[in-house]
Amino acid sequence: MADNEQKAMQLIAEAEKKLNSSKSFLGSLFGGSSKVEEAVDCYLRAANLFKMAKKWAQAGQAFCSAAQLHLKAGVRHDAATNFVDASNCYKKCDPNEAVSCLLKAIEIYTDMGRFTVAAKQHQNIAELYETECVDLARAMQHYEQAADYFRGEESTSSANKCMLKLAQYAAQLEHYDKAIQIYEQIAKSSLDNSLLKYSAKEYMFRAALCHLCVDILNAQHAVEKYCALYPAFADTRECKLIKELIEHLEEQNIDAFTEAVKTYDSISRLDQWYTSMLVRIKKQINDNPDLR
Amino acid sequence: MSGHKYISNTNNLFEDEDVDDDTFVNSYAARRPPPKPQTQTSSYMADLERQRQTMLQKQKEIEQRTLDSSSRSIGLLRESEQIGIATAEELARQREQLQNTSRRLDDINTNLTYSQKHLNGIKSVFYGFKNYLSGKSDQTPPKSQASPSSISSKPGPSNKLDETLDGFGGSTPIDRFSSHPTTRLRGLDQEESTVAPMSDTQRINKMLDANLDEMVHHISRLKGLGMALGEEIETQNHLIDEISDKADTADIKIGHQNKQMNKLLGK
Repeated sequence: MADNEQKAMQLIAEAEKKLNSSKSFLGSLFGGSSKVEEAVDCYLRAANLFKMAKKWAQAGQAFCSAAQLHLKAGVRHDAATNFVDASNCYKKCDPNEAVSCLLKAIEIYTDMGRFTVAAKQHQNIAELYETECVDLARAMQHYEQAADYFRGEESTSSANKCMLKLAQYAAQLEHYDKAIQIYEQIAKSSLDNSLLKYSAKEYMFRAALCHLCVDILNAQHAVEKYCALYPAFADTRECKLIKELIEHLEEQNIDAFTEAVKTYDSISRLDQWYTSMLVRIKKQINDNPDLR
Repeated sequence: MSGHKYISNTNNLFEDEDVDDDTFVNSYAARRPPPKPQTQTSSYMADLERQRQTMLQKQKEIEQRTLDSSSRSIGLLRESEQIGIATAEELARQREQLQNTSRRLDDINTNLTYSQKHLNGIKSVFYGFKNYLSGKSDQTPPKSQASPSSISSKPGPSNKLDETLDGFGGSTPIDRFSSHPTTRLRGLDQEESTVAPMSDTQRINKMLDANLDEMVHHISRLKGLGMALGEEIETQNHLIDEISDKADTADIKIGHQNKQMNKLLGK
């Protein structure tokens, strides 16, 4: 699509000329603003053409320049939208640039008071850190920010979604207390809602697993607490598995432990997070040889 | 009394010589009725035996297959439940967004009435005068159609569902099983008084029953989940209709005001 690319380069040159020409005294007196608008228009068209030609870096750049011009003209909303578009283009080639564009957009949004949108962008950044350039600590940071903003705007379920991801990564990075806190809180609040009741058992299971990573006695107390809170939890397979695991941990019986996990896995698959937690718990058995 | 003499010398019953054990045993064996012709029955019996073995084998296989299939069904039921749960969470999120949208549209509509008043003031002096007279009262315009219905509709269905869901607590499925007519027919509800060593079949039956129990639990939970999802979607449909109406009104108002402004600006 060299055709599109060439057209795009032409448009960019045009836009720059317009900008430069508006610097002349007469131009700025009469047609200054419309020149800037036209320049912005040219930049945007160029960016779209670059997108069609799949030149993501140049498209991103064009969007960024358009955004800067919008900022100068004081139209913050459009500037923020253009930054978001730019980050979409950069996502495909340079994640760091994408993150910086999103940060600038977030600044503008929080300035304007549009916290829901800002929260969504934080989520996007966190997802980028999750997948493209894996940096769990920063991803957690952004998820936390997003959850705070969501809670500020009373969107509790979106906030819960971010907190869940936060808890997942916290547990992976061994911040068990935080994870336990989050899971327990979400489980309690979901018990109130008739729809979300069904997911409470999953959260309690996860919290119990985190407890197991820390201390067995804690885990036992926690499981009793959960059964008291939510009687149906005691019947679930998850609760039975946890009780079995506690038993085997006390007996330091590795084979029975693996056996229990395998039976559970044959009925419903355990995903990567669960398996890593269970491996850690199993290592505890190895590390604590029976000193009795 | 057979005619066999196992005492060789009847005349002298007090001979020292004991009856030879072997003689005794062999004579007894000889006294038995002669067995049927051996060769034919043995093959018949062996055949039957083989058939019996194959039947037993098949029975074991079928039992194993049934057991496996029941555990697979449980796995599938759990997966469906997880999908249902994820859907429920997504729906809850959607509901929040819909409510937010509805609130914002309310704001937009009130702002539009505001701007209409301003435009009227600009358009003609007479209107401006009228605005000034009635102006002080419209500082906080009434939150028109401020959707109290959507907020009150949330606790409504959840109360009813809470009751049904509480009824689904652990005890009910077991009661249903024990009160089901087939259970009584099969006499399964009576406690197994004899704890004799269970044969394989009995053991497998027990496992099957446990699995079926679990499936009953799961299915009743799925039913509750499905009904809750359905109701949620119904209420959200209402919300969406309301939002659509509000968006239409806003659209019309904006169109009008655009035209008026264009006329004013002389474009």
